[in-house]
This record gives sequence, structure tokens and C-alpha cells, in this order.
Amino acid sequence: MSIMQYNGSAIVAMAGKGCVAIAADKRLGQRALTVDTEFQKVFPITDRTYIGLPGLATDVKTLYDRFRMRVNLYKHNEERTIEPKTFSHLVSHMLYERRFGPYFVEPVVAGLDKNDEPYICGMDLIGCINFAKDFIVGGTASDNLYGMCESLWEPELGPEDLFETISQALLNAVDRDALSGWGAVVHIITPEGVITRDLKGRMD
Amino acid sequence: MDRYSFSLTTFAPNGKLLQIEHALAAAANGVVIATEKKTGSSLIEVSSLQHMVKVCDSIGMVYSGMGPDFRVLVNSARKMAQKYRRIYMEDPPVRILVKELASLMQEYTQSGGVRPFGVSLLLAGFDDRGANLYQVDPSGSYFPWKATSIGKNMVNAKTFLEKRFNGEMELEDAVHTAILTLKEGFEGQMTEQSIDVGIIGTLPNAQDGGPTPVFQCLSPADIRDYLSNIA
Amino acid sequence: MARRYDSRTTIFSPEGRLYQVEYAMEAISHAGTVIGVLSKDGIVLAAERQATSNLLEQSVDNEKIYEMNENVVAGVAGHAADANILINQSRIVAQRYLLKYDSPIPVEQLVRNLCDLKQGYTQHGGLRPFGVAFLCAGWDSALGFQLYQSDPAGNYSSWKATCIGENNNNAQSILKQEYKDDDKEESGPNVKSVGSQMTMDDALKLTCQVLSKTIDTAKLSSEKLEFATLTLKSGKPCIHVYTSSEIDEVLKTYESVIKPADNQ
Repeated sequence: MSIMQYNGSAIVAMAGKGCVAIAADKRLGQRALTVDTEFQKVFPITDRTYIGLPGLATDVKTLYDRFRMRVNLYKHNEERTIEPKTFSHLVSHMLYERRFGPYFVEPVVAGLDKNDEPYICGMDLIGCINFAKDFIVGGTASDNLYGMCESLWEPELGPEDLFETISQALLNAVDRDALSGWGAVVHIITPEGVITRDLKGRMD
Repeated sequence: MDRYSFSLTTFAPNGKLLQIEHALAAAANGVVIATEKKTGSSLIEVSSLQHMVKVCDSIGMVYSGMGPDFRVLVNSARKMAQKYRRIYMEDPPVRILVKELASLMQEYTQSGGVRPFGVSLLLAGFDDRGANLYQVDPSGSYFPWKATSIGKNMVNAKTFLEKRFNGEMELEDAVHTAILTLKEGFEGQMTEQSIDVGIIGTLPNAQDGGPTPVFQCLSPADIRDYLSNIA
Repeated sequence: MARRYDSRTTIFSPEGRLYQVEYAMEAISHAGTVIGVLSKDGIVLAAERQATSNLLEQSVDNEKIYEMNENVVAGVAGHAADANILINQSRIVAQRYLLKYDSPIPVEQLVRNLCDLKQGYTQHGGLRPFGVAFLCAGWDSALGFQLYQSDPAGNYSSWKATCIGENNNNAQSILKQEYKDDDKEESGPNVKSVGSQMTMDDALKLTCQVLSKTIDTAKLSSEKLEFATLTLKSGKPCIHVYTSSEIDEVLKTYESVIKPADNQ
């Protein structure tokens, strides 16, 4: 079993019309044993940029702390908030710095840029960026998520429709994955603000 | 002006070092730097003198003072810009590059065994705040300007700019203003060989990227056109 | 030979003085004034910028007031280039603390770290000390609002209201006179802001009053001033750096205390 599967996770981001959504499951496990059902895998970077970190839980926490540090320094030095695209390149850079001893995460970034345009992207564990117009998936349920997103996602979804789509995609994907699930959280990022909702899922 | 310059521990950066005159003006949609190319002898190949350099696509830089010191700073500045680009995949905002360069220059005023850099820099660039113009002194202080001048005739040139400059100028007007400012204290005939003009502005024949302002040195032919318009 | 003891920081003169440090302090006493006033629900920082010219692009950058961390804002007097180095360093120190302990750095620790760096340059073999003094306004959960002053030698001290830069003696005496303090002495070394009877309005008013008497100008205007406040918003420190129109508004509100100064 790969170390990427050790703790289990499922994260998905979707672009809508003038909004983006990012959702993650809440399970923290050790192989088949479930340890926690309130584990945070999605973190706010700015008011309108979020990052999801599927992968090894210890690296999830460490990396978030390091991102927070870099973004705070950026904010103070440049007196502006970091754009999602710029942040993604920073993440990519920080991951590739550890090319030969990587953090075991596959980050998913979702945000709105300064023109309120949706931005989403994903990365592998050494920072190779995957830009997408529609959706990005990551974690142990990513194969299932691909299937769900391919069939449910459609262009130009408004915030509420996007919420419904991403929630259904995630819940149905984790039901067919033993290592993720046990509840989920969804963030819908709109120009007016972020709507965060918790989802109940099957607890088995 | 003396209020801007702090005396450094080892030597005064003002006075004799500043022999070359520059004038700068920011326009609504770009920036202009104009500089005199001063040669000691008519036998020097003027085209080999490089006062005005490109740091990265969006930033250009000129200096007053010691040429060799400038060369070292150009190297550092270009590296800083590329290092920033390697992390964020975009050119640094002018202020960030200026800050970093200023920190380097400050370090040389406070470390043992080195002397400060004997140059004042003028940086012009474009970023999401628009057109930017900065002066960096050997002390490591920096100032954002709308228009300014450094070098031997700077006091007069600044007075001239204070009268001529306004914030709504278009790039073309700014080029004229900069050249006129330079002309105020110019010795001898001003030709396309004896001055350098750099602009930060949208390329007339911009390719795919659309209106991304970049730094470019004007060709002698372009400069000749401007000069003939003035005369 | 006369300058045998004043060009290197690391050598004591026969009288036991460090001339370079003293020169640095002298430089600061001619720098733009920075005032800090503590109130019971926040801190006001105000600074005078000296360099003005029509051609300077003043709107883009603050020269005197910087955010060091989400809970600390600082005003600087002295050599701007030196200040930049120290500010950068402090920002990194603050972020490193956050990374390590997952909580914002206590104000005094940040100030102490900054001052240790300054101290180092008065003892180890650099060329000269840092020519800057800081006023740091900060808030942390242990000690609440705090205002610190530091000098090039690396001394720091905590104040209720203070001033660095030009005319600071003058300002200090006005602050001493006008500051509304609780009568009873606070006991214990750690009680810092409890004694203040000032509200934020009082603090802003006092700041304007002092500014009008220390700054050598016919009329105070936003062009020559920078303002910042540190307050608490729903339990979290909130730094607000004023825009020039906001500064004009403040000056207008407290016109009454500014005007008498003009007549004197």
C-alpha cells in the first residue's frame, strides 16, 4: 500500500459561473482503522482562495503551516493578497524544492482571482500543476470522483447548483471508497463571500 | 535635496560620482527614462556603452555613478527578478525588486570590509499598480517618483519637471518631456548617438499577449524621430 | 587621532562611551516625529514624513508605518534603509514563531528579538549600529495592548504614551501633562494597559494635539502624516492604516485642539 493511501482522503474542486467550490471528506484513518471523523483537509489561504490537501495527514498539517507562513510574508511584503494562480505556483515551487524527499500530498487549489474569474488547479506530490476549466480531484477516491464529476459537472453552474453538484459527486464517490468518507465539508467561494456547509455521510 | 542623502561611513556618494544626467517621467500608460551618453573621447564606440539595461521584461534600470558597481548590481537585480519568477511564475512588482535591491545596497553600508555601492539607480517598470518609477540611493533608501532627475544638472531639471509634468500625460508626451528636460542642461549637440531613451509601454506591435507593457530601449532611428519633432 | 574612538562601534572611548551609538541617537532626534498613545481599547500611532516634493509619488507607499505582524504595527524614525532590514527580519521572526507554536508572537518577544539584533551591531564587528528607533504597538492575549519604544543601542521600554524623533522632548512633556491616567499605581511588573483612562477618541485627540505642537508647519495635512490604529475586533487584533482622506477626516474632527497651536 502506498503512503498516499495510508490516511485516506477525497477532495474535489469545481468551477462554476463566477464561483468555485471545493469539498473534502472528514475521515482520518490508519489503513482500515478510522481514527477521526472531523479531520480538516481544506484550508483558507485568503478570503477567496482555498487549498485542499489530500494525502499523508502529518504532511497536510505541516504544509498548511508552511503555506500560511509564506502567504503572510507575501501579504506583508507586497501589501496585497495573493492571487490563486500565484499561490499555486508558490505551492508548486515549495513541493518541487523537496523533489527527492517529497511531502506526500496532491494539493487542490480553488479560488476567485481579482476579476472574480474562477481558478482551479491540482498538483502531484512534486508540484506538477494540472490546470483545468471544469474540475480537479484528489485523494484515495480520485478514480471514483473522476467518474462522478465527468457525469454530473456541466458548465456555467450558479453557486447553489454547484453546491448540489459537488456534494453529490463527493458523497457518491466516497461511498465506493473504504478509505475516505465519514462526512464532508463544502466551501462555495463567491464574490460576495464563502458559504461553508457540512454534509452528513454514511458512517461505515 | 540633502535631506534625502544620509552620510555614509566611508564616502560621500554625491558630488563627483554623479556625472551623467538622467530624466524620468511616468505617464498614464507607461514610463520614460532618458539619459545622456557621456564619452570621454570621440574615438569611443558609443554603441558599446550601456547605461540602460533591462532587468526583466517589465523593468528597466539606469544609473549614475560608478559603472563597474552598476554592472554588479545589474547582475544581482536580474537574478532577483528570475528568482522571484521561479517561485511565482510572474515578474516581481517594481517595488519588491526595488526593496530587495535597496536591502543589498544597505548591507554594503553596514558590513565590515566592504565599501558601499557608488551608484544611484533609477528603476522604471510596470505592474498591477501601473507605471512605477523609483530611485535607489547607495544608502539603501528609495523613493517613488512621478517624475525626477538625477545627475549633474538635477536641481534645474527637477524644477523644469515640476513645471512641465502632469499626471495625465500620454507616453508620447512623456518622451518629449523627458528629452526636453535632458536638453535643458545638455552640452553640445543632442543627437540619437548622444542619448539613450528607454520606455515602459505597450508595444505597438504586441503579439498574442495583448497589452502587456514591457521595457524597451528605443532604437537610434526612433530617437531621431523624436528629436526632429522637438527641434 | 581625534576620531580614534568614534569610527568603530565596537570600541569604547576612554570615558566608556560608544560614540557611533550616540551619533545614531543624534541622527534620530532630527528624524520625523513618531507618536504612540495607548488607550484602554486600542493604540494610536502617528508619524510625520519629512520628505515632500510635488514630483514624489506619495500615494503608493507608507514610509513610516509598517505592519510587522497581524498583531503588531510599528512606526520608525531614522534611517529608512536600516529600518527596512529590521522590519523584514521582524516579519520573518514573527512568522517563524507562528509556524512553530501556531499562535501569534507575543509583542514583547518580537520587540526583544528586534532589539537583540540592534544590540549585536553595537558589539560585533559591523561598521555602524542601525540608525533607527521604533515605536511598536501590539496586542497579545497575555498582556493586552502594549506600546514599546526602542533605540539604536537596543534598549526597549514599555510606555503609555511616547514620542521619538524631532522635538520629542517637547512632545513628551505634553503627553505627560495631558495623558489621563488611573490614579492608583498598578502593582506587578506585567500590568500594562490597565491604568489607562483614555478612550480611542481621547488618544486620537491627544495625538493630533501633540502633532500640531511638534511639527513645524503652518497647517497639518495628510501629505505630511501617516496614521495607524490597533484595536480589537471580535477578539482579534485589527490594524488599520489610514488613507490620506481618512487622515484629513481625523484632522478635521479634532480641529479644535489643533487650531490653538497656530495662534501661539
